[in-house]
Amino acid sequence: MIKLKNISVRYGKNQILSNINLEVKEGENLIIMGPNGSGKTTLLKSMMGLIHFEGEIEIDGRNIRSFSRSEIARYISYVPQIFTTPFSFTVKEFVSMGLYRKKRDYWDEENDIEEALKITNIYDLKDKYINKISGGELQKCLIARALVQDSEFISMDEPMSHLDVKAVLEISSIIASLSSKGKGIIIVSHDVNIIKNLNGNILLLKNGNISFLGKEDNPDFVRSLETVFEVKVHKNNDIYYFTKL
Amino acid sequence: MKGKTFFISFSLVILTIFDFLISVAIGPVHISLNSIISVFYDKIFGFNYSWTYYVIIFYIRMPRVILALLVGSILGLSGLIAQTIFRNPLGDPYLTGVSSGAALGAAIGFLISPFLVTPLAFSFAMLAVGITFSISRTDGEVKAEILILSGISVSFLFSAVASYLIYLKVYNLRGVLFWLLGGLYGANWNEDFWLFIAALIIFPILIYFTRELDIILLGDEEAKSLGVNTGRVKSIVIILSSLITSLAVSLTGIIGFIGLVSPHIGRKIFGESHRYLIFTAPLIGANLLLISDTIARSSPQGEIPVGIITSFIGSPLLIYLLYRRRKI
Repeated sequence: MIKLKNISVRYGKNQILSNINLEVKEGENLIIMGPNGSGKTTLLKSMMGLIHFEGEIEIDGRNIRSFSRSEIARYISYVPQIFTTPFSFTVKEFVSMGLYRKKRDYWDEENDIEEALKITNIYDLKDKYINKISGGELQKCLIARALVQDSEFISMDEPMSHLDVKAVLEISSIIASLSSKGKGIIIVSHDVNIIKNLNGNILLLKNGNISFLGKEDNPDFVRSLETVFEVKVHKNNDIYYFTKL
Repeated sequence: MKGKTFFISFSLVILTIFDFLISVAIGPVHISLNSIISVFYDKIFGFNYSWTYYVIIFYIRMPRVILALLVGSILGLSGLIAQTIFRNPLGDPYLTGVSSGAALGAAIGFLISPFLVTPLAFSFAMLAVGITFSISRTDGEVKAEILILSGISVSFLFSAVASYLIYLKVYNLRGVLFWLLGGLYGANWNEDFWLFIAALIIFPILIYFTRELDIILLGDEEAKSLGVNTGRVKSIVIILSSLITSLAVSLTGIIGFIGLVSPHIGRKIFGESHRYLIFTAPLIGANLLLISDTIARSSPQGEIPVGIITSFIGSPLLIYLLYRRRKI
């Protein structure tokens, strides 16, 4: 279980997060949403101890500050926002880096990564260079790498932005199937409709504060969505869409 | 290792041996390859050998050829590490202030006594690295961007003082200038031995971190999330590579371009992963410096500072690589 107690993050004079309290249990999902600049990515990164924060984060009752990097890596893996990489690693080399926390000598461990490559449908790409594949394919490599890392949770920072429709469908079904196999997914998303595929708590952030934390069926959810994003929310055939206030 | 990679690496080793022999052969007294091999052979098996050739080969040319190989490989490896840690293709082993620190030390050395040039160059190089490093270290982390900027600032400061000293004491200009542009003319077995010992200790430690270096290329946050203790790894490799670069520079002066261009050539041939680059970048550096130094010492106008030659060879090579990349 990851427990955040009074987490605040400041960049210079800017208060990015203020007094966040939160719990995520093993196997549970957490969907973090909010407008640009609301502190979503910062929250995700502080949960992994990647940035400086005030307050306490506990993993299974132990302070995260006492963890080594590889201990945190055993607990939570990270699918960062898609990046353009100038580095010409092959898909296989890239995905196998996920093994590092278990096996420092991660090179040439083809068998260990085969399953992850198959689950994410990139087995055929394994000898291609990551700077020569599409955004959707790269996203799948990042997820495969997180799978290989074999952690309790996978955190993802907007895995579906910048992807075309087909890739979005594919990635979201991969994420859903990981969740159904018991992986806890902590995901930052712009797309409200991701909750169709992913059950879990929804966290709405605004200006670094929690505006809503609960399930979709909570009567406050739609209203909070409207306040947080300053839009009118409609629901049709289970799909959310928005209009101006 | 893939067949092609193995073949190219093997060819690189053969090329190094070939360059070594050619370089020993070339000089004011031409010694044929046959004679070189027979002097080696006769010496090893206790036969009579040509004393003149023996002296030229073992006391004049070989120390220098070995020094070129050692310094070239140190610059190649440190350049690779700098480019990885800074995540910047312009990374260069001198970025942490090594070269300007050494320049100031050498300039002071030239004022006091020629014997102090090397020790002072080394001490000031390490001093500059130490300052750069302590500025850029926060919370046990070394931030690449801050390291580059503090390295540049420290370099400018040390260079300014060095330039001022050189400006004041114009009488020794040629000596200082020659040193600043780099040269292997001072080579002897003693220097080779100590540099070799240093490389023997430091290279394996740097090579040990090859896997972490691959992951660090992805950036600090990703590397950490994968379980790499980036603060520790980066500190160790930067300090060790700066240490051995300072040692090389204090013996030979500031030889430019080898550290920048060798990793790029390696990457072009072997790809991004350090598993091959960690061995091939130093080999390429060794070959480049050996060839450059052979040209530098066999110029008809007398010896040219080798830094001039490395730039002459290195720049077109790099431009060619960039041009090829654009076409692809």
